[in-house]
Amino acid sequence: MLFISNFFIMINKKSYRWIRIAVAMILGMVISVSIINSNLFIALVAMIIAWIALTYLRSQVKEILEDERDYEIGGTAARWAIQIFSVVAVAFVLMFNTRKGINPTYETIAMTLSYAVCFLMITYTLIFKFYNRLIWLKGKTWLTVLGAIVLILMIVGGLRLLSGEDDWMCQNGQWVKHGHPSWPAPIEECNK
Amino acid sequence: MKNKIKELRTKIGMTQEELALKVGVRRETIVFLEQGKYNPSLGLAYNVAKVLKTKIEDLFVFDEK
Repeated sequence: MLFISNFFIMINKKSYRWIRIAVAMILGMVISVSIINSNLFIALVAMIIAWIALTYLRSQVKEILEDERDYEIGGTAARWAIQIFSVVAVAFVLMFNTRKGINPTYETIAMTLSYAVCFLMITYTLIFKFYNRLIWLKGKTWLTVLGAIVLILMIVGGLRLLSGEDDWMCQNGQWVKHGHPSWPAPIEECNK
Repeated sequence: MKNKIKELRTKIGMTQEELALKVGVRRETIVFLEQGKYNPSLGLAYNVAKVLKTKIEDLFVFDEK
């Protein structure tokens, strides 16, 4: 117990970075296992525990983990990452859309990618605008709250769009259309 | 941007780590600053000048080109 308390108090920047990598790896494994077992509760709990643990450990590091130069580089890297991802994703969307006749699943992949790109760009624009007007927003709490509500609604709406409203459902041993899925019924057996 | 950070820092016998700690940045940032490979924010420039007991205009050599 004493060792544990000493360990947490004496944590330095290097140790914190190694622990962060280890936590990310463990979290990845736990999420994979929970997806395989179709139990997302385990993943959710693991994510919350990891977040609390990392936040606590970070507060114990007395050294400076990042400064203004990191934020500047981070901003540039984020812009490049968004641009590259968007261009590559659009290329894949076009490619998958032209080949949807070969395999109907390609259309679903293309749609998912399209929504992902749109969601990323909208989120980036909203956050950019929010920080751009942060000084202007000071003292106007209602606008900040309104912005947060709009963002939450967009996230919920986006998730609903991606949640597979149009799908094939297994009912009484038969595949039944739910909505208007653009792909044929699954080939595997329906045993429910 | 050229500067006299290294010159003034060594004059008062301060290490890069100590300067970094006093101005609230990582040591690497001080390295890049001294090499003139990073342009600091006004706040950081002011803090560095304050720690090194000088003025911003005396610490940094502004190239007007």
